[in-house]
Amino acid sequence: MAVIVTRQDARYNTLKKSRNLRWPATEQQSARQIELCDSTDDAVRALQSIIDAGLRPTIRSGGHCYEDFVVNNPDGSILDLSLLADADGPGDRGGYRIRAGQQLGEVYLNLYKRYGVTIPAGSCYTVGAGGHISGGGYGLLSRLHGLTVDWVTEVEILTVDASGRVVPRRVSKSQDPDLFRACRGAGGGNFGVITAYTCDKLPTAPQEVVNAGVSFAWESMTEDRFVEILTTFGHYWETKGGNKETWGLFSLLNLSHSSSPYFGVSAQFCNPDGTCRDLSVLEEFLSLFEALKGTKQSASIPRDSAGADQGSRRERRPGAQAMVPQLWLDATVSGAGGGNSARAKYKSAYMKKNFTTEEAKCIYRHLKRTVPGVDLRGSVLAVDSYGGAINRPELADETCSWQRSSIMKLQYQSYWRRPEDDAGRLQWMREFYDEVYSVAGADTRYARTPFPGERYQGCYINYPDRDMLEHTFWPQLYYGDQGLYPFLQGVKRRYDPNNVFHHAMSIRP
Amino acid sequence: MLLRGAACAVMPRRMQASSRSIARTNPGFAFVGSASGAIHVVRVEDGRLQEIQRIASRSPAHLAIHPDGKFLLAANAVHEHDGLPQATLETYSLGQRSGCLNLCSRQALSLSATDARHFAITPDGQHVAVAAYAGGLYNVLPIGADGVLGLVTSIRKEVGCGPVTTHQASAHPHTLQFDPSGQYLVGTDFGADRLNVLALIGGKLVRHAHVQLPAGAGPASVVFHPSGSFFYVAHALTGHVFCYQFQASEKRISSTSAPVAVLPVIAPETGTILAMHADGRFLYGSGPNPGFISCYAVDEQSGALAKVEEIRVAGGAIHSLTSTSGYLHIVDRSGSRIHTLKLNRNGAGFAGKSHSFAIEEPMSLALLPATS
Repeated sequence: MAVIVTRQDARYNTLKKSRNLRWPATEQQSARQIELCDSTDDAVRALQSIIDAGLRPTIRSGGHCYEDFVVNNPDGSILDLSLLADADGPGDRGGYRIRAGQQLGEVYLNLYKRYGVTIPAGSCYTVGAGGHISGGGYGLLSRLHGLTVDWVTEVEILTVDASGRVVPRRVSKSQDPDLFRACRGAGGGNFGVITAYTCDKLPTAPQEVVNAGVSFAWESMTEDRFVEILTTFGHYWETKGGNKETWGLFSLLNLSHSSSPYFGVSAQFCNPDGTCRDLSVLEEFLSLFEALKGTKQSASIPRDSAGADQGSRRERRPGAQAMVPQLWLDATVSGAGGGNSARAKYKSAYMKKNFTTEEAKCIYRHLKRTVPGVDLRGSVLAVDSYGGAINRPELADETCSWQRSSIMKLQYQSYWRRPEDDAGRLQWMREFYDEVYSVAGADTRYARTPFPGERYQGCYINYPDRDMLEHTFWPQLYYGDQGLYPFLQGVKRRYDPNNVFHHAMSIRP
Repeated sequence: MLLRGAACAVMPRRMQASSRSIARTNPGFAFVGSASGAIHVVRVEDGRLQEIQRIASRSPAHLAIHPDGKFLLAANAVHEHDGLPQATLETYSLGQRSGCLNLCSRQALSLSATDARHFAITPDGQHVAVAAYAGGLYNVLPIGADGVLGLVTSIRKEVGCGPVTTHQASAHPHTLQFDPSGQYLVGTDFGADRLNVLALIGGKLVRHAHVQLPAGAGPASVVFHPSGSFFYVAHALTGHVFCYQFQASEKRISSTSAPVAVLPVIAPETGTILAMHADGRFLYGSGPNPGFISCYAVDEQSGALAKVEEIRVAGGAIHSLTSTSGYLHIVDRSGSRIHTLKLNRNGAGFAGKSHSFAIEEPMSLALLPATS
């Protein structure tokens, strides 16, 4: 039986909240109740009762949604899947079954300990599989093994038919293939309640990895050197990222705001066979940054998380250490973050080309900028390496993760604690982002956005940004301009004709 | 955008009245919502019609005067506001002598509550319930004493469908009407073939009962008999008008087994439009053909209808009907005119067309009778 938590319950004030503490925005925006389901059958009953009561359901797996799509649900009901306890492991037809409510850390432990396999998903332990995978599922092993949705072969989903009846479905390439494709990359909260994913096959988990990095002090940084660091990073991925021997290299250029003393390049590496026998790719990569007066160090990849603590964990302190291989499971689970909550704002962009000098200078300006009365610690532009196994073009048509020719993925992040800092933080990030995508040469029709084209490939739906709604072409930013969005609108009309599942950036019917 | 509108009488325009024989005291001001994006304020005085103000308003599909007479409410049948899929509701302060409007508040409806086409104000004037046609939702908003709308306090998401897939792929709340006691609301759902009996309790919308109608009915316009014991619903997709008995104490609806009137389907989304004479002895409905209005005598015991007369008033489908004492006002959207018919004594049929004036694409009408 579902556990129903209402306003009178002591748990309500905790469970009504998102990991991003900006949501719910006001008490009036809070859901009427939270329903925690024990099983898929339970979720069917709970969803039906929500529909019959005329309430709006929103779906929560891990609670990491960046925007207000889940917990801003005035007078509605949050269907929480985090307690779903259906059997893990092989599904009815074999393969590996991943429950939507599982946290990624649990998934990694479970898949590794039982089967020695893994999914190439995100780095935050507490992110829920349901939303993460539905939006693509990208992480440190994605250059080596692709996106998580590339491995999904069946999705269990509850839809609501035109008459209002809940319909449990198992969708795959042979059953409701249009909905199956939509569940692989279009993002959560659009078509129904995803309760589980099955992957017929999964890649063997690496045995070991090396984490290393190079740090730079802001104190001695110049604009010219900063530009050189960014363009060196971009040039590497533009020229070398397609070579298969580099696919085991994931790197993050973690550009902290200058209110932190350091920024740096971090990397996790293993050879394609999951060992660290040959580190020449990693050494060559790091040497590029040592040559730019960076300090080499042993470092774990900073995890993208709403729980960043004002940036201190993100600082790259100098101190050279040997590059020592570490057990992959330890590196993946032990250092994973995401347990804390904070107020936060995010934006994103895919890049198909290296940074231009103008872009790099613009980024430098905003990271060096101080705003009177606004504490910008905990603000960072995280530039992830992309491509490799992700960039198999045929997968763009099989899934809804259509960005298959980018070399970098950028995540603008800012974390803070006090509500009174909201306005200053949001304004700084908006101005930063707007200016980067308005530099000379940008297509004026799509100014202030990384509109798909020669240089950019839009935004990541798992890093949604409500600010993009001000552009009439926002669907093209998230779903491209090659017909994917109309396809998704058709799926929406077919499987959710009453638009039961909706949020600020859901697929419009 | 002309949000505040032109100052009153800045751009007076003599309406193209075909007759000057309008009664001195009926009405004082007419407010006409236009699909061209405005609410027109028309002064009616000594038989002269004069547009005195035009204020910008996006697709004002339904207008009504607040019970205290100080405000006009407008439902905006829009699909997007502030980049989000939501319609809006507006309130305007209403100059008691001038009739001029000033935007008082514009409040967004809930997410997905798009295409607001109708609303009903509680008799105490403290809340308004809105039907969002395309979005398939009902919303409730509080109305402050100053006319300012508060945030949505209650949301009801409807689901359902009908066999006429071009119009009934999903639920479409169409019209909301309070029963004469003011306790209950009847809501028609055009898409789901359903009548809902609703009530507002503590600002929350509660559904007490519902009746599933024959598939493909497309219930739309609804009017209560002043007795409160029955009401009429136009089944827009079949052209039938049904009478439903209403037992308020039991929150129960029962239907006559056969339609009390049959009118041809004119325009499914507009359907047959109904209006009730104030004393409940006559019902008016659009049809039987496009541009026609029919008058029916009401059997106040059974609700049965007997046709009295029909008259052609417009070139195309009628969009809205409003009955005031002695007159019937007709919104003729396709003909871009508002027509007024003088009624016979006690409302028994039509004495003739009183006047007609041009308004671009009118879609809604509210009247503020002159005060002596």
